[in-house]
Amino acid sequence: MLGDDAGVRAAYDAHGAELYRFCLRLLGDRGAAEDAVQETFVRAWRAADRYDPARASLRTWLFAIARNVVIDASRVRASRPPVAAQDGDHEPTTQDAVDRVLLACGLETALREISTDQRHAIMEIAYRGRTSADVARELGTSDSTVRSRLFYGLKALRTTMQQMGWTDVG
Amino acid sequence: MSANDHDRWRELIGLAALAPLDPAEDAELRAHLADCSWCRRDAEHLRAMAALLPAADPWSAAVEPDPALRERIVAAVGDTRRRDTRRDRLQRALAVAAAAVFLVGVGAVLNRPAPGPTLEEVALADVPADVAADAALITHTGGTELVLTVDGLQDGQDYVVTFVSDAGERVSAGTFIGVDDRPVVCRMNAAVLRNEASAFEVATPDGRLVMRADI
Ligand SMILES: [Zn+2]
Repeated sequence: MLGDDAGVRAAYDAHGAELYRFCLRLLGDRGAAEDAVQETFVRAWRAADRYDPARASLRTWLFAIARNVVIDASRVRASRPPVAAQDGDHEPTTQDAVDRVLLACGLETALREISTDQRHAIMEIAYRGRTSADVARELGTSDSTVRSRLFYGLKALRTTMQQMGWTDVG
Repeated sequence: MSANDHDRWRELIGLAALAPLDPAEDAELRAHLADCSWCRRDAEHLRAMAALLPAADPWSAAVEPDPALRERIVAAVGDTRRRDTRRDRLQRALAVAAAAVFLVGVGAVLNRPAPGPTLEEVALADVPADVAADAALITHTGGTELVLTVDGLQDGQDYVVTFVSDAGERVSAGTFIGVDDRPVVCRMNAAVLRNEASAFEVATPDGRLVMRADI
């Protein structure tokens, strides 16, 4: 799958940008995030014979590797003497913090994948706290249409999250 | 229960996952959920999904990596792939070479009452990044033998192996030709005693050093 340049390009095109955002959010530095994505792909190639597509999606597998790369990278940064550390007081990134960002990145990706109408309904009601009647009025549609979009939007989000490897979405 | 009724329940279930319903709708939905395992399951799934939403910042800009990163990664994985392949092939060639030396050793023991040769592993320095190599020495009564296993050299290029004695004297051990698609095992002999040899070098005939070892 990463066995030739075309395979690496395909995997990068599918997941590279999302891996980059994940690493950037945890490492806080573009250069470090790029290095981490590169290291993720190199480790993935080295472990390619252990990858079983029947057990995990390529995305799940790459993110599992990226998670370890980021934890390793943040350990190295945290162990630098304070004089050399120019990026403030970087604590070693805990697994909890990594998993929170992993979830956030996954959700943000999934939100981009569902239909625009469904995303709009979820954004306005779940994140902006508006009522479905209010959103319906603004769109010039019925309250029941907006509510229906919420139902199918949440369902689509759940399916997308599951396809991305989340098993604990109800 | 008609399909239309279920449209209505779904509208309530979707909204209930994200916001409190008004009391009348809430009572209506509860009554239905008590009766309908389908809707009960949907309601649980959507509530669990909705509970995760606060973890995300959906307005965060979708930052894109530098476009050059893609080809940088293709190159990095390609380098690793070539290096790993060379290392694997080298391991196999070394196993064969070690077995051959062992057989020579057994033959020597049978033919004359002298100890068989032992391989003395040598650490190589300055090996180019895309070359994999391994070296060992065998001490002979009249000289020193180098067993050099190398993968990734330039195809068709001549290489000269020279030993350097403690006194600074340069002693040729011969030449070999590089191949780039498989490891080469070279066994070269130099007329310098092991305990008087201090280094060897592998270089091109025009003097460009390829790798060396202090022994
Ligand atoms: Zn029902």
